[in-house]
Amino acid sequence: MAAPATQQIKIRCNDEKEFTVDRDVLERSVLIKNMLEDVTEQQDAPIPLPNVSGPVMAKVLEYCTHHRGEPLPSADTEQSQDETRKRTTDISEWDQKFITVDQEMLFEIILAANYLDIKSLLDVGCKTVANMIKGKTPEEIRKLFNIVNDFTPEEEAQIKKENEWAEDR
Amino acid sequence: MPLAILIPDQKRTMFFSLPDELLIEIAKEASWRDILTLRQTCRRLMDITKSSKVWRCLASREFRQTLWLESSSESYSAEELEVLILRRKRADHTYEIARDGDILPQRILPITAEKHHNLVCLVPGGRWLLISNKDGTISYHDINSGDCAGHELIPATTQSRLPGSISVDVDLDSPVLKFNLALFRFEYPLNSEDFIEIWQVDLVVDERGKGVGLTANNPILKCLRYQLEGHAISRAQLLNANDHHT
Repeated sequence: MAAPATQQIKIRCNDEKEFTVDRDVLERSVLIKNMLEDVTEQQDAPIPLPNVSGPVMAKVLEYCTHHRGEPLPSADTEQSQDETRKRTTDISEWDQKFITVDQEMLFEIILAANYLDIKSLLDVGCKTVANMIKGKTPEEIRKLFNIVNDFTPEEEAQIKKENEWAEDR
Repeated sequence: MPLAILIPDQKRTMFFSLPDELLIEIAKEASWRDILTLRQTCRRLMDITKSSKVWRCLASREFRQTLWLESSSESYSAEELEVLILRRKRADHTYEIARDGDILPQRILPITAEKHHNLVCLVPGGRWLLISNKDGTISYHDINSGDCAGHELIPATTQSRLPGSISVDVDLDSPVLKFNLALFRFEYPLNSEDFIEIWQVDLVVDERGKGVGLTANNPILKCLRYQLEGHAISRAQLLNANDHHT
C-alpha cells in the first residue's frame, strides 16, 4: 500500500515571507494544528501568522522538522506539567546547539513558541535564559539584559540585606 | 543640565520585550537562589519573583519530605510557600556553616510550659507542636500563628496515666497531612495496666483546602503493656478493625 502523500501547507509571516511545509511538521504548533482541524476543505491561501517574522519562522521550522513525529505533550493542567518538569540543565545536545543564537533571536524564538503554542520549544528557550542567569550577581544580570536598576539606594540596600544570607559566592 | 537617558532600541527584541507570563516561565526554570538574585535587579523582576506560580514550581521540585507541605500547594499563597522554602534552605545553610553549638535560635515561641511533666513533639513540617500536659491531655499549638495558643487534641484518660512518650508517624501517601500518634501511658512503678494508644490525627482544612487545625477521633489501637519483660506487648485490643494500624 502506498503511503498517503504528505499534505503541504503554506504559511505567510508578517514580512510577507512564505513557507510551504509538511503538515506534520507544522502540527508541532498547537495553534496551527487547531487551525488546520477547523478547516475541512483544502485551501490554497496561505495561513497568515502576523506575529512571526520570516527569519524567526525559519528557525522555528528547523526545530519542528527535527522533532517531527515525537509525541506532543498532552493538554494536562499546568500543575502536573510543573511536577513532571525536569531540572534546568536537561536540554538535549541538538536543542542546545539549535538555541545557541544571539539574545534577540532567543527572545524572538520564545515569543514565537508561546504564540504558536509549541510547549517543548518554549521550555528550551526559558531553560536557556534561566541557565544564562545561573550564579550571576544582580549587577551581572542587569548588564546581561540591559536592565535599569530602578530601586532607590535605600531600597537596594534593604533588599540586599534581606537576601544576603543566600549568597553563595 | 543634560540628562543621560538610556533609550532601548525599540526595534530590537530584548529581555523586557517579553510579557510577564513569559518572564514567570523563565523564573520557574531558575533555582531558588537565582530567584533571590533576580529579585535584587529591578522592580519588575522583583514582582515576578513574588508570583505564586514561581514558588509552586519550586515547591514541586523539592522532595516531599524536605518541605512537608500539609495540603496541596494550591492552598498556599506565594508568600507562605516562599517562607517555607526559604526557611528550609536557611536552616540547611545555617547548619552547613555552623560549628558545633553555634546554631542560635531563630524563633522564640511564646508557649508556657507547666513545671512538671511536659513532653513535646514537633510534627514533621514544623508547624504543629504537640505538648503533653499535667492533666493527661495532649494539646497542639500552631507555632506559625502569633499566639501559639494550645488546643486540645487528645483527651485525658480515665486511668489517670500520663504519657511517657509521644511518637509520630506521618502517612506519606496522603495528599493532606495525616499521621499516627502513639502514646505510652504509664505510671510508676510500671505495671500491667500501663498501655499504648495509637491515634489517627487528621488536618482540619477550611473551604480553600488550607490547614487550620488538627483533629483526632477515637484511638485506633489500644494495647496493654506486658507486666514483665521490657516493652513487649501481651494483649492487643483492636478498637476499630476497619482502620489500618502500624
